[in-house]
Amino acid sequence: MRLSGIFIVRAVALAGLAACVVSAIALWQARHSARLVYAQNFALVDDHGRPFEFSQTRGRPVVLFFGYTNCPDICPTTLATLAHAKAAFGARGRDIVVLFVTVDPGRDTPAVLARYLALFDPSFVGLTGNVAQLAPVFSAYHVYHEVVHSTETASGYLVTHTATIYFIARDGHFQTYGDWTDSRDVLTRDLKEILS
Amino acid sequence: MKRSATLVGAAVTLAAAITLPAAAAPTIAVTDAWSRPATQTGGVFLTIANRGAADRLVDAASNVAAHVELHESVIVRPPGTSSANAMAGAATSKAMTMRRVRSIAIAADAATVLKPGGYHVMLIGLKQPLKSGDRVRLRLTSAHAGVISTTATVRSM
Repeated sequence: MRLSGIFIVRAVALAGLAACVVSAIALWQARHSARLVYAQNFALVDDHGRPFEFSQTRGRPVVLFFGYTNCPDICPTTLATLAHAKAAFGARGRDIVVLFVTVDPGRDTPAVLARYLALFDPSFVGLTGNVAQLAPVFSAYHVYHEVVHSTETASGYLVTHTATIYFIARDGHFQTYGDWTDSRDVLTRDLKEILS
Repeated sequence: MKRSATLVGAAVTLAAAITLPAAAAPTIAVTDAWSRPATQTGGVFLTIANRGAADRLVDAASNVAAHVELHESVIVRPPGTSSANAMAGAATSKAMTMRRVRSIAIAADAATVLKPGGYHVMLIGLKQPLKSGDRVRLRLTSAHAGVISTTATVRSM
């Protein structure tokens, strides 16, 4: 009777272990069988006016976002939430590279970008370029943008743009996506994924 | 002397009584006004608590910017986007646009919240950058309740 009790305990433990192994394999397969898509390299100009290539970030987790400094709503919301989520990781979070690519190169010069981003997190990198430099980046990252001229508003023009936030792992593959509606908790989870 | 003072007092009371319907029934209150850091263009978000009939926010003014307008952010589906986007799927098929609006409806007996992704008061041509902790004084005008003053706090979160 006592012997069979131990046997049952052992059998259950063994079955549990087997289940763990099976699910771990399944998880590994799910993660690795999906075709990883890698972020495409590009060459732009950073907010200090220096040439910047995406490949410079290899080995570090990257958050990529497209917007413009005259955007009063979605862009500052995204930048503020990202700044706080990143800050919560402390020293570890300093590894994260946050790239803000302008969809409004006509107004967003490197100096304008630097002044704007410093209000959120001075480590955020603003990127701009001429139309020929930016066009392939918008294309590669599926960024829709359109300048909307309106006599209705004193702002001159507004820019309709894709508001996706791209989370790119250290090896350059797209880990996950988000947007301005994500809470700080959701962004924290996304950052944790690319920090690992 | 005392008599004339009483007379003035009566006149003041009478004047107050005449303007009473508007002055004594502040059915609209603006609370929790806030803004984000900004350099040239800022957005102010706020809550309009209305204990009365439906109204409309028709104007906003502030000394911090050259122009103040009422705007709305809207989600749009870019033309030509398909769900066959290998990289991000539906994530990249949404874009944000913005447009000026002439007024913002203030619902009766409800709180109307101006928040990111919807309506906001847009500050165009900021005279100086808005930094976290700064305060922005606003004068809002509604069609029925008139002018309501409030102060927005700039916060980075």
